[in-house]
Amino acid sequence: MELRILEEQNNWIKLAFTGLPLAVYNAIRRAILTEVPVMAVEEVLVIDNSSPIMNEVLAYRISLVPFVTDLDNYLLPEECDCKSRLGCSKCSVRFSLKVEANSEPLTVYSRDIKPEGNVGIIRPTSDSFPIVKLAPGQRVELELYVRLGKGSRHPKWQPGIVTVYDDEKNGLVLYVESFGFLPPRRMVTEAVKRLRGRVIELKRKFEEATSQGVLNEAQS
Amino acid sequence: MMFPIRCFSCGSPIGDKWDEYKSMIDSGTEPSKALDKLGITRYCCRRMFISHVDVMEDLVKFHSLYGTGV
Repeated sequence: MELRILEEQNNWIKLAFTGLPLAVYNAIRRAILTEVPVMAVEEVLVIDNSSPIMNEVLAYRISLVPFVTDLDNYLLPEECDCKSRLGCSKCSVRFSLKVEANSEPLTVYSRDIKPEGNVGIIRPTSDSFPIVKLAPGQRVELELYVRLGKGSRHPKWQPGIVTVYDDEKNGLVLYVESFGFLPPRRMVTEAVKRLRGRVIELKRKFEEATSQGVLNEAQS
Repeated sequence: MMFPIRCFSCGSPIGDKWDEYKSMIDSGTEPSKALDKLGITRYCCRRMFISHVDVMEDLVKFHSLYGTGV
């Protein structure tokens, strides 16, 4: 099988595999959408909020901000053995948001989200997401816990958009667009890695069942 | 309310482009040209921009005049 990169830019890539069935393309597509973990705010501690927006709406807006993801140094909460709600240093990253409007109205942006300690490359993908607007005298003070998660649990963790289409010149094409969490190439490799793990798991379970004679019993 | 962080349909992050879009519109740029310049290609994301009404502006104006009530 041959892999061709038809076109590539910072946030998207077009790939074609010769001789790969449509079903496998679709498996890769679905694996990217639901299986590749990326980072977003999962827990919010509201210390103060006198903004015009309610606590839960404010937390919801912040949770949709995508974060540049460090897949190599952090674990999914379900794979981490701390089992704590707010996580440990292996599965959770702490940020804070503390803004007060003095004499003029003020817009709170994603650039106001400040890391607590050394967080490496993890930060909002853009500095200019507007989060809330404050009138003079209003303030917000929040503690944010950024964690890895999968698109199957909440769409805020969907790493991007993937489509498979039939191109006249190149046959089937896999279009992968990143939302900024991960580079598009990494999204594809990570999805394939996870798909492979699942196939191996299926094979192992199947062999286990046949060696125990479960399948033979079911037949008779 | 405020401009959404993500497109309702496709989930693409668009909130960070709002300020730039607004300043382009205020300086007389055609909305379609402004969106092309910002690289907003899908129509689900484009309608987010052209149909948005910023109620937050009015709320902040109200709170600035009459206080927060807290």
